[in-house]
Formats: sequence, C-alpha cells, structure tokens
Amino acid sequence: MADDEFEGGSRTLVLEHSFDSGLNPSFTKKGMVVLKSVKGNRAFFSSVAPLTSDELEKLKMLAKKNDIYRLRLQTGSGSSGEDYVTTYTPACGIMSSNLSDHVWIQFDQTGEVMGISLETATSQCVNGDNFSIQDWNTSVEVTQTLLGPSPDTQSYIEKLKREEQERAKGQTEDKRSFLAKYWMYIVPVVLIMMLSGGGDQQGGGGGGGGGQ
Amino acid sequence: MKKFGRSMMTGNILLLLGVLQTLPISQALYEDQIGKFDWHQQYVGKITDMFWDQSFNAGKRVLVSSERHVLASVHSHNGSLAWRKVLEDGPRGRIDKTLHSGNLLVTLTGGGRFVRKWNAGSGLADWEVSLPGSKSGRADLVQCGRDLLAVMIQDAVYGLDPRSGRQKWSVALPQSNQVVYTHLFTSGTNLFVIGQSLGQQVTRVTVDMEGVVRSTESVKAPWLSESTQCEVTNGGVLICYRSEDQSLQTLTLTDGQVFKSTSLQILGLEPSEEVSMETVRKVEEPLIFLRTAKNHMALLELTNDGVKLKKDLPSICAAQVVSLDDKSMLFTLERIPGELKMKVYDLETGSEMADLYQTITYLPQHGYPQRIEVLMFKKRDLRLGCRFAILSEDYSMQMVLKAGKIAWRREEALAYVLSVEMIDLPVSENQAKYEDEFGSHKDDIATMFMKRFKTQISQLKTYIQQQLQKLQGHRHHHHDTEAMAESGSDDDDEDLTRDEFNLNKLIVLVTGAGKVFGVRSTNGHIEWEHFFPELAPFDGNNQQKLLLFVQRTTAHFPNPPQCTVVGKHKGTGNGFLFSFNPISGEPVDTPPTGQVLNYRITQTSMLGELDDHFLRGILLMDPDNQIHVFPGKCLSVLKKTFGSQYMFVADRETGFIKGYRTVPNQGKFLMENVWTVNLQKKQQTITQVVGKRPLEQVHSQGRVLGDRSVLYRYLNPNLVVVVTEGEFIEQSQRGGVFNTINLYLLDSVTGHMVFHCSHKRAKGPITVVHSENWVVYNYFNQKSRRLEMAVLELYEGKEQSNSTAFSSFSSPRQPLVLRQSYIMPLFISTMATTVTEKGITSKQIIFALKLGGLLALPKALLDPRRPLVPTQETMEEGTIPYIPELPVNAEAIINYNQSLYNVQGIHTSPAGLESTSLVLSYGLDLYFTRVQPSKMFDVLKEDFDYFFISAVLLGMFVVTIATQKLSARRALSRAWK
Repeated sequence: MADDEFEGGSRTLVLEHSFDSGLNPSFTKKGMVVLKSVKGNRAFFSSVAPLTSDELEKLKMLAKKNDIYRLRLQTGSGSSGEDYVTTYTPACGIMSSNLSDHVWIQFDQTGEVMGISLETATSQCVNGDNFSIQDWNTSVEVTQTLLGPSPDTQSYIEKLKREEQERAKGQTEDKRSFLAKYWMYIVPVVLIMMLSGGGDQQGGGGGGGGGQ
Repeated sequence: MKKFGRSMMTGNILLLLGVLQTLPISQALYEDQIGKFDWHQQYVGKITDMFWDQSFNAGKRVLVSSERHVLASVHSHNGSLAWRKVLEDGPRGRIDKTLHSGNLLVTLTGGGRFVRKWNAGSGLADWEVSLPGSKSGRADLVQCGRDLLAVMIQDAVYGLDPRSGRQKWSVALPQSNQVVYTHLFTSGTNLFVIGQSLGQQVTRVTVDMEGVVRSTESVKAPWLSESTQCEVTNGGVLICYRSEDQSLQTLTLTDGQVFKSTSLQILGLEPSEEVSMETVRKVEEPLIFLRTAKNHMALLELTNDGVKLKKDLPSICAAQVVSLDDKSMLFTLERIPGELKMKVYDLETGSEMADLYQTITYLPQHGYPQRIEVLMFKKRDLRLGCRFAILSEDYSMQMVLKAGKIAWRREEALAYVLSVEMIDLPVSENQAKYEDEFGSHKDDIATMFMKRFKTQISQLKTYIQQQLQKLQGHRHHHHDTEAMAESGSDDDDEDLTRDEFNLNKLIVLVTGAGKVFGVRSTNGHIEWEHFFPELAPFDGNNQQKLLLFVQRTTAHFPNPPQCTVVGKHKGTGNGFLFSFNPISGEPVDTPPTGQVLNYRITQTSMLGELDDHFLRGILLMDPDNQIHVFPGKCLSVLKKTFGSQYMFVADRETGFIKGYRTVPNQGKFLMENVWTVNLQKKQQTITQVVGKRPLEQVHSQGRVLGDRSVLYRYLNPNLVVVVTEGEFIEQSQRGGVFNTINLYLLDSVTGHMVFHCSHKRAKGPITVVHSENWVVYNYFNQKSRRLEMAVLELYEGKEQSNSTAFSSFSSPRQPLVLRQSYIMPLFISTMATTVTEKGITSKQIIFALKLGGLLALPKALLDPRRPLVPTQETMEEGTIPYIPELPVNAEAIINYNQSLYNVQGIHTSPAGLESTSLVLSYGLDLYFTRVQPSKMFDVLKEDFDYFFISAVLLGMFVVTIATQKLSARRALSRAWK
C-alpha cells in the first residue's frame, strides 16, 4: 500500500522551521525532503536557502535565552494547523553542532507521516557570539512501522523435527546385523555355554555309549 | 589440554544446573503457611437488591445481588459470605432482575438471556433456561402464583414452570420493532406488559395465564421522553415522572384509558433535579416512595383520581413499608450528626409506634443511608422486634440486630479500587528520638547529652517491657486473636510502627465510590476511611482513573508523610483534591471534605524536585494550558526548575499526542506546545498510555553476554508506551475486516518515536507492563486464535552514551530493540511486574488468570534473547532455550486455591528486604501476599539449625587450639633434637 503513493516517482515533503519564541511562532520554509520509498531508510534533503543574517541573529538570541528551535512537517493535505507534526531541539545544540542536524521522520504502514524529531550532535551550549556559519548540513532518516514479533513456532517445530530425524538417523544407521551389534554379549554367553555345556555333552556321550 | 576441556564441560553442566535452580519456578507454600502472610477479602460490589432469606434459614441470612454481577448470601450475624456466585463478565452477566419469595430465588441476567433458579441455602443452581435475549437490553421477570414464572424480553413473553424451568408457553408481543417493552406486571389472573414509544404512546398488552393475548391497547402519552421514569406499583398502577414539568402521570392498568397528571407542587413537594421513585412491594395498596433529595422522601398513594400525598417525610433518607400480621408499618431513617434516628409509623392510623423507635450510632463516613431492608418478627413476649440492613451512599452494607448498635458492616466500595499505594510505616518512638537528635543542629552539648541519656533510658525501659511481654506473650496473643474473631473489631491491633524488615505497610486504596481507605497490610483491617460523595473518577479510554500521589514518604521524619488524591468533582467536572497523612488519615493542606478547584484538569504530573520540607508538589494543567501547583508552597520549586518540566497529552478524540514545556508568562506558568505526533485517528484509537513507575530502581546498567562483553540497557525514564487499536480492511481476495494493534514507544520530552511496531489480526484488550528497559504486552491473535505475549527489550549497544545521567536530547535515537513473542496458554485479565527495594532481585511477572489464579513467572522466560539452539555462549549467559509456549505449572500460582474474580489490577511494592516484593491484587476481591522472585536469599530460613552451626564453629575452635598446642609442643621437641 505504501508503494502506491510513490508510483511514478518520488514524494516530497515540505519542512518548515521557526526561530520565534512564544506561543504562536511563525514558520518559514527550510527545505524539501525527497523520498523514493519509505522502505529504504534514506531520504534526501534539499535546502531552500542558507540562513539569512536576520535568521542567524534570531538563532543567536534563542541560544542565548536557552530557547528552542522548532521544526514542523505538514501531514495530509489540509492547511489547518492541526495537520502539522512538530518537533524542537535546544537552539544551543544547533549552533554548537555548526548547523548540522539530523531529522527523523516516522511513517506508519500506509505511508502517513506520524511524527518527526530532530537530533544534533551535541546539545551543549557554547558561546555563539562569533558564530557565522550559514549553510545547513541537514540529513534525513525515515523509519516505518515494523511488524511486531510473533511466536516462532515454525522454526521450533523444524528444530524438533530435525532432532527427531537425527534420532531416527541414529537408529537407521545402526543397520548392522544382529551378530555384529551384539557380539560382545553373545560371545561370553556362548563361551560360558560352551564351557559348561561341554561337560554335559561328555556326560551325554558317555550315557549313549552305555546303551550301545 | 584434555583435562582443561573436561573441566570446562563440568563447568557448563554446573552452570546449567545453577540456571535451572535459580529459576524459581517452584515457590509453593507449605500448608501451614496458608494465611501467614497473605489475606483474602471477598466482596460483592454495590448492592442493588437485598432480601431477607425466607427459606431454609429465615432471618439468618440476607440475599443480595449487585451491579458487579454477583449473587450472594450474607450471614446476618457477622456479615460473612455464606456463598457467592460471580456471573459472567460483560453484558452477558448483568443481573436484570432478582426475584425472591418463599423458597424461590430466581435471577434474570444478560438482558433476558438467562433465567436461573438458585437454591437459596447452598447457592447451587437448580435449573437454567436460555432465552433469545432482548435487543433493547430491557427484560423483566414476575411470579404469578405458585406455578408460573413469566419472563418478558423485547419481543416475547415466556411462561416457565418454577419447579423445573420447563417452558409452558410463549407469546409474541405485537409491534415489537416499534415499541420498547419495559415492564411486566401481574394482577389477578392477567399479565400486563407495558411498552413505551417515545413521544407517542404507552402500549398495554394483556396476556392471560395460559399465554393468550387478551387485548392490546395504546394510551396516548405524547410527553414520554428519554428522561421519563416509569414504575408499576402494586395494585396495578403505572406511574411516570416527567422531569420537564415535574409532574406525575398515573394510569390504572386494569381499566384506565387516559393518564392523570398531578404536579409535584400541588402535592406540596419541592421539585428538584434528582427525583426518583422507589416501589413498595410488601403491601397490596398502590403506594410508592418519591425521593426528591438525598434526605427528603414522600410516601404517595395512587388512587383512581391521581396521586395523593400519604405522608411527607422531610429529612428522611431511607424508608420502607413492611407488613406483619395484616398490619402495615412505615420505617423511616433520619440522619443526624453521629446517629441515625429510626421512627416507625402505623400506616393505617399514621401514629408513631414508640416502642420501635431507636437511635443507631452511625459514622459520618458512610454518607446518607439509601435503603433499608427490615425483617419484622414477634418476640417471645409477643412484642414486635425488628432487625434491618442499611445500604448507604458509600456502597456499604450495615446490619442492626440489637437496637441502637451496628453489628457489622461490609465495605463494598473496596470492590471498586482504582489506585493503590503502599506506604512505609513510621519508625518506632525510640528510633524517632534518635532521628530527632541528629535532626536539630542548634542544641549545645549539655542538652544533646541530656537528650541522648533520655533516649537510652527509654530504650532500656522498652527493652525490659518487651522481655516481660515475651514472658507472658504466648497466652496473651492467643487471647487476642480470639477476641478479634469474636468482635471482628481491630481495636486490639498494635501500633503502626515499622517492623524489622519493613514488610508491613499501610495500603492506601482509592475507590471509584469516592471512598479512600487506609488498610493494614498485615491483616487487611481498615485503619481509617474518608468518604467524598462528590469525588468522581476521570473517565478516559473507557477506563476510570483516580490519581493517588505520594508527595512525601515516611522517610523524612519529623515531616509527616503526605498523599494526595486527584479526581473530578461530580457536579461540575472541575478538579477535586484531597491531601492526607496516609498513616493517620488526617487531612493536610486541604479541608476534610476535599478541595474543589475552579478549573478542569487536563493533565497532572509531579515536580522533579522536592521542596525544603521534602514535599513533592503536584502540577495540574487546566484546559487553557496554565499550570497550577499544589500545594501552593511548592511554587518556588517550579520557579527554579520549570526548564525541566515537560508534560504530554494524548487526545483520544483526534489521535494527536502533544508535548509541552513549561514557560513563565506574566507571573504564571503556561504549557507551551513543542512537539506533536499524529497517530492517524482515521485508522485507530489510542487505548493505552503507559509510562514507567517514577523513581524506579534499576540495579544493573547492562547485561553481561556469554563472551564477557556488556550490552548496555537503554534506560530512558521519559519513555512511554502508547497503544492504539484499530480495524483494517484486507484487500486480498478474501477481504474482510480485521483488527490491528500498534505500539509506539515515545520519548515524552522530545516527542521522538523510539520504536513503533504493529500486529495485524490482533485484538485487545491489551495490558502493558513497562519497566526498566523492557515492555511486555499481551494481545489476542485472531489468526491463530490464541493469546500471545510479546516482549521488547531496548539496548543502547555495546557502548554506553552517558554513564552518569540520561538526557533525552543526547541519547541514542535508535536503540537496539530485541523482540520476541510467546504463546500464553491461559487467558489473563491483567498483569504486573514485581518491584524490589534496589532492583537487584530478578523480576517476575504476575498474571491474573481468568480462571482465578495469580501466576508468577520469571521474567527470564519472557526474554527475547532465548536462543532456539543453545550454544556454549548462550549457556554461559544463562538464557533458557526457546520454547514458544510459556510454561504454566500449579506451583507458580501464588494464591493457591483462593480464586480471585474480576481482577482489575495488581499493585506491587518493594519491602525492606531486597528479596521480597509485596503484591496486592484488586478487583472484586482483595488479595495480598508476598513473593520472592529469587527466593529468600537475604534471610535465614525458619528452620535454620543455629545449634548445629554453633556446635561446628565451637568444635573447630577447640580443634584449632588443640592442634596449635600440639604443633607447638612438637616444634619444641624437634628443636631439642
């Protein structure tokens, strides 16, 4: 089902970010995420534009105030605010890792976006007064809902069968003749019988002789 | 080389043996240990019907039926259960009607699905008849004379033989698809079936005793609405109460053609919101009680001209009409502070019968009495006597046998437990004094010396007292238990002080009835109780929740421990708080009647840090995303730590989960939405959100593998499990709709989805156990038609990201998730895991089986690393070879033969002993016991042979000295040579 959505090409998602603090931040476009299939873990990110100096100042302010940098992604097709999934990370982390961030996007099995999250190399705060990097280094990774575990009865039964076969093989392998298998029991018995039976025979022979 | 190999082999075998031994599959009790550290209390739930047993032991037992699908017989002398029948779960077991007269005890259950006749003496079923059941869920049952039982379900009436249950006749009801049939009534030689069509009419079908429809008439009743309540009184009068214009509509069933209307005002009664009617069954006259408030009733008489007020009963909260020898009497109960006043009136003359007047001591924590059931009898001197049972607002049942005194009570609220905490008992007085000494730093040396001297003197005194008691001890104790058994009171209990191993606790139970109990863990006796008629649980995901927070434990002497119950106010839906000292039950910070907030609560959480007095504040979020702190004095803590206070709200209606952080805003604190996850409401509904137990102790950071490397655990305290259930339509050739469940592991601070998986063709109800670095959950596999138990274990890998503290921002985003699933051979209702003091003891999972047992299995059986083919390395690690089915053996059932029904939850709590975990299972029954998942490794056994050990030690000592002497002499003599 998930593959249907990607028929005839790839799918693009618009990633937006915000440098505002407060309850109603405004978002601007950060870039596009292009993914060929949800199944492969990788997706490609193309940045729209480097950080403007205005945005850079805002980012510095956020880091100074120990505020957060936000990211959002539209889900579905509607335009109301309810259709976004959002995430954040401390603004310090963005600066201390030199604008390199890693975005995770989670999809369900039908290919709908469920969540997004953001990771930076460090989340420690550094003094960012003379910070001047403006190019984003964003990577995107995609995960999709996996199939849950189920009892592994198949291989267990196979294992049991294999063991049984081995046991059976053990039995069939021993297709030597009766004598070959049990000679160590038979020989002593025969020997004993011969030893004790020899006397009998002698006695019997003697008796026979008397008759003649 | 060869030798080395062999020693390795023996090592392995020993290891394997060791593994098998440490798996404490057998932990059964000896027979004489039964009841030593476990107790079991059986309840019936909120009683809906109550009758004095009239058959085999008249007056000695009370038959009750409850809304928790229970039919039981209670001994009237001590309140114990003679027998109890727990009927089916769900709508199939709901008791529609219980009928008791003479020897006959019949129930109608499951919306007319089952008619069962019971033997009132033994509780055995005599016969059972299964009927098609009623689509509307309304069903009724009446007895007509000696040899006919009539059962009404939505579209038919059945005549049954009460002796055998044989069906005598059945008759279809007309227009059963338009009319909702609600009542069945017998009068003379006819049966009347009453049907209602909202906004139109009342249909009356007359059926005779042979099952022939005599007539079908309809009476216009355009006023009928959803909120109209109707009852049929004796003498065959239908009476309906309309809340819209507060009027009563009456219709005589035998010949009435139109409804007669009487408004409450004309009767001189004050109309109110909560009017209800209670029928009078024990006399022939058409009488009915009308209740306008919790403590205002009126006895109405229904005549051909309408309704007449027979007697106004202001400030009466419960009343009953009883007749003895053709004399009808009206019993009334009035609640005055500390007492109940019972007055009895002669119904004919209206005069009070002074010789039956009595006052009964009555505790305020039972609320208003709601019903009484009186048994009248003649004493030997021909004077009248009575005994009666009282049902109160707090679901309790109390019995008055001798005038003025409650003989016993049953706290049926305990069948509705929603939250449990086990609180450590305070240390003894002496130890407290020591603490006191170290607690204050201002004293000079002299006072400190005096203090020390005093404590030691008092210690000596108690020691001598204890020794003296020990000398007399045995007999005294024996006497105690006898006295307790006789009176049933817990006055003889010793003080609430901590025992040597901190095994005894005080259990705080919060119930859906609005009652909070403090119960001793030693014997289950109630230590204190509070009743809040206005406290209601939060309703979400079809689960009722009342929150109980431990704000301060007993560890911070001299500050008393403190707990808080957070719920909803019944009337307004606003927040309702009650704070108390869990040991004494005394209210703290809130008034004794609880505190009603002026806002609704959308989410609660606890502050991460304690205040100066070791109190942990509660954060309450209102619908405007504002944060409130309770108690107010903890606001300073929030001011310091708001940067690390996060919350999240899962909205079942929209499927969104929103995460919030705390931001200061104009002197207040607001929650700001920082992350959002969309769980696609179109496909599924959120049914469970399970976090970890706060402040959980995890002993080991990793797991040592066979090759001596360490696999580090992913121990994220912010991790929550979100479960959704949905349906999906299969698009294969077979098609069809299947259920599916999805599981999401979310970091509640960053909103990162750590792991998500789904089970196709799987169905709930799901129970999730989330602890340490693992999640265990169960689901019903629709394909294989069996219950399966899945386990997820999270590991960071072979390297640990941060060994000192965990941060959601810098932790690995994708831990290793090991997963496996097992077949559970038995159906379960819920499960829980054991907790111990330091988390060293291996874990056990306790399953509440539908069969009634509590099954304790080691967590090692639910290990995703169980190998299919054991190798040298896995043997070294100690994992058990994989077998798909979980083993169930009788010795792992920790409640031996004490079957537990309708288990709603299991609460576990650590004891002072690392090896021991305390378990309380709640539901219809309460059951408390202890488990030792790794056996009792930290305590010597009871039968430990001290004498032998000391003899051996002494012997070795003697031998050492002797040999030393000998060798010294020898060395000396050798030196001379």
